[in-house]
Amino acid sequence: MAEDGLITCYKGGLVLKGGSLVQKDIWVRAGRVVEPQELFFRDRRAPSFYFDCSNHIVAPGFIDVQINGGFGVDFSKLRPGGVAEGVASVARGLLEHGVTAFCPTIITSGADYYASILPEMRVSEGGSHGAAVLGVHVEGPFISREKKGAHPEQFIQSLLSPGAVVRTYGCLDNVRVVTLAPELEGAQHTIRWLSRKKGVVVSLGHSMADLTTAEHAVNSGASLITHLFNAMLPFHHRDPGIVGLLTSQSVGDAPVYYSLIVDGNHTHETVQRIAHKAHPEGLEFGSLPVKTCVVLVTDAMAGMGVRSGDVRGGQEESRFSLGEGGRVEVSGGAVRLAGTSTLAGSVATMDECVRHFRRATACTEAVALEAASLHPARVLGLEDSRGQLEKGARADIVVLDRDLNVQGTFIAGHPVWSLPGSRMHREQQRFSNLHT
Amino acid sequence: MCSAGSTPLGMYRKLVEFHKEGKLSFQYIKTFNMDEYVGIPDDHPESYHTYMWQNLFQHIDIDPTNVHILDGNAQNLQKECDDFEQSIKDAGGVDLFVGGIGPDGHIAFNEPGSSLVSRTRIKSLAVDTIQANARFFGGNVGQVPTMALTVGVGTVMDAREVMILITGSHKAFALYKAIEEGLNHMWTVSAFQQHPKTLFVCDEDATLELRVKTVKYFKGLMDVHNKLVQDPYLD
Repeated sequence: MAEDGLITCYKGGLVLKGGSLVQKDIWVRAGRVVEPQELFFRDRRAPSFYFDCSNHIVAPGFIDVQINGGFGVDFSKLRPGGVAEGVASVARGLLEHGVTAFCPTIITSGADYYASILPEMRVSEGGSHGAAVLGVHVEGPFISREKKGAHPEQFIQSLLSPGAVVRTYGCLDNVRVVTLAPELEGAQHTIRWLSRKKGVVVSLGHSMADLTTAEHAVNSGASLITHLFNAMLPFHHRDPGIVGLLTSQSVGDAPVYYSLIVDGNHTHETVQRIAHKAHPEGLEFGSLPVKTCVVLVTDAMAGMGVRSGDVRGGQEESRFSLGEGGRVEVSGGAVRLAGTSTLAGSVATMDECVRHFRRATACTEAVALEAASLHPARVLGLEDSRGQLEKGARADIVVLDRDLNVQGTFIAGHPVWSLPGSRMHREQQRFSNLHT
Repeated sequence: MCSAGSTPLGMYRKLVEFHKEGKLSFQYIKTFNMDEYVGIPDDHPESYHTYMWQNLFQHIDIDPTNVHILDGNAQNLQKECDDFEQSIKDAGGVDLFVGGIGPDGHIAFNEPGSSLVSRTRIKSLAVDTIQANARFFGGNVGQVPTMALTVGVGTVMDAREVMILITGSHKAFALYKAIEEGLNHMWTVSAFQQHPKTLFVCDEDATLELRVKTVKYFKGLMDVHNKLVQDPYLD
């Protein structure tokens, strides 16, 4: 690890800052972004190592708040005692895709599964061993049976209360996000309790809620919509359902974020454009500030990052089931419950989603990158340390080429991955030769 | 010794360009800035710290320990000024001073009426200067600092070479006062008439108030000057 006094500089790149890319150098000391001018004049220090980032984009590392697994690991099907290992192998694999922090996601499971697994799925720092774990996203079991998607029906619960939450999940210490259906009995009270008392992000999803119920939930403290358009009522012009939150003027000042799975299967490109154009960056709408904001998620399952290509074979069956939800099939980049058309997560990587989103919405590189970094950081209330490369923030950095292909990944200013054969690969090696 | 302000901007741009082309290194250069406002943070967008950082230092390979800018927030301002003079001496004196002037002929913050043998000190700004600077502080005169730390005319006179940059018709009268009239503490730049190695670099507009014969004389010297500054590696 780089010693504390070492100052490194990411030189000559286009840096993601305030919604655009600006020519700027980033200086890093002791794992944090520092203000160059201040260091130069007050501490009389200059960098001792320069990463040549010219013609590259320098962005904060991606944050995936919904990822069911990957690289053969399924977070909803871990063995007690094997949790740390499973999470670690995904954390390591994600570095190649520019992801420096994530929320391992557990789909609807039985109470005994939560009780045995959640305590072991600890929040952890990132490093050369892998991306940081920011806390678990528990998706279910408090969801609608009608919109269960690939979730196993036998574990779904329809009565919500703080007591039921505690009985189901056990300890909430490692839980960062809960996806629930706001129309369930006791939901509004529980949303208030979770978001205000327990500091958990409440996300609305797998739900039959109408718009009024959804607005009520947001006013109770929900701040995210889980994979917008999927597993909810389709947009209807007299009751737009949860989708209506995008332009609702009855949700006060609380920002509402929506996650999108932009893998080319979960949402049609035209629909991505509709969502995006409703609020490209949380613009003012009429006299009321409507601050819906897109958050890119992969919703990836175990098959993500598995390169063999064939994940349909008989012996793969158990590896590529989704939790207790039964077998899935992967074909043409889409994951479906075997023999059905029900989508069951994705095999997309975050960098693919970013590129896809940029292409589909014709947004700028900066907007696409913020959707995978700043916005998820804001959802989790971590924007002071993550999701932007401002003074004091963690130096979790992804360096990309102009087509948004990941060239190198850094955690706390330390090189953790680079594309073999690339200039960033040589830069990281040059750094390692000098500093290890 | 160098200065902030709009006049030397083009020069800094060129220096950065030379550095990026690999023709020029600042590794062994020591810089002293001639002035700084009192009482604004050094990272204020209008501070001369920020100016130097943005326009020069962040682009070049200078060692930060070789950079000297007066601290306008020092607890003891006079001591800061005395220390600055000492650090110039410790560095072996100034080889080259480069700076612009104000339309009233001020050099650094040596406003009209400053002593021509002054040293680095605290200076109250002239009303004209404050009003002219208001545009940098959101048009609000109340936001403009009223004091600055500045090297004295005597400090600059000690430099082995002095180069004054003057551009634009609004500086034409000051150039006339600087070189065609006598020494005058109301036009502090005129002091350099007595400096053995002073060079005034000006554009056509700045010569508007000069006598024709003065302009013609100096234009006649241009061939010689150009030979002195041409790229030695050109052939």
